[in-house]
Amino acid sequence: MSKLSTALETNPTVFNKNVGVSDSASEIWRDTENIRDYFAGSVTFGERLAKVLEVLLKEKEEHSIDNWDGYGAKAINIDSYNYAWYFALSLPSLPSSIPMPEIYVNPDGYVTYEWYEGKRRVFSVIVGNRNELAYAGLYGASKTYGVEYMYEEIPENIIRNINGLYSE
Amino acid sequence: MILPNTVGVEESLGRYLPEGSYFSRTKNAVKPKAFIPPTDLKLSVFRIDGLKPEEIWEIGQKHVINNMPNPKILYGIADIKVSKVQERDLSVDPDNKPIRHANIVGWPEDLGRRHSIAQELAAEANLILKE
Repeated sequence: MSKLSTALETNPTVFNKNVGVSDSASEIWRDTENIRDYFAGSVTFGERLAKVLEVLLKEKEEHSIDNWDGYGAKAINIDSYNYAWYFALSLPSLPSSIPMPEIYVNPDGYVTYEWYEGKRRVFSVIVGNRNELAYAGLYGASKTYGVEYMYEEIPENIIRNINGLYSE
Repeated sequence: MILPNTVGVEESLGRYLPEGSYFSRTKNAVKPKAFIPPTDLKLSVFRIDGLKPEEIWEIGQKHVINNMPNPKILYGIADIKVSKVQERDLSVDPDNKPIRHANIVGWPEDLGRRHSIAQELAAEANLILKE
């Protein structure tokens, strides 16, 4: 078990505050503390959050230099990474019937959360370098895409699209 | 086999898969990540028609895997027809640098729309694993 898992098992919302690089990041950490206080004590929250944050850290480590894919990919965008933590903190508040997403770094350096159920059942949230969340979904023959902004919670439209993958 | 300078609509393009997160083995599917372009909006592919499997892997190893700062495993290739690319208002620029190389270009600026196209291309692609 990693140090992060151990720390999160003790306190599910503990994490390194030093990853932020801007005023915006400082705001994130202040908000994060509020969220942490709110959710502290929930075992389910801790377990789900630990998994997400562990993957996020691993993705950062593995994609921290340019050209990691051999095709000219950008290294992970640090602002995107920081906001991805913020997004992660809200994930465990989704209904427990919704699985945790896959997390990866795109060739453009942005962190993406993806719920993948099959070739034509997929929804992705791409975390921008501000509080911008671009999204795209494929539901059989239908598709959707757009942009939302994250303030305190995952935007309703994004939750609706995630739910759409698992309903019916 | 000498390829013409212009790509044909039924030609196959290969996008090499250097990470396990580019595909799902259990669903036998290519994932959208495989078709997300880098910031220059040129998605690198190779024209694979007429190649034997070992030649396909040789190109991927030489021009993708060995080009990485920390070389990884070549898992396989996402095989997509040019017609599927063109149906999304993208085009194929066969620069032949290196030989058989091409770029899928014409991507929209909008990030969400780009991902939407990547999802559709992944859904249309065939997964060919190396082993």
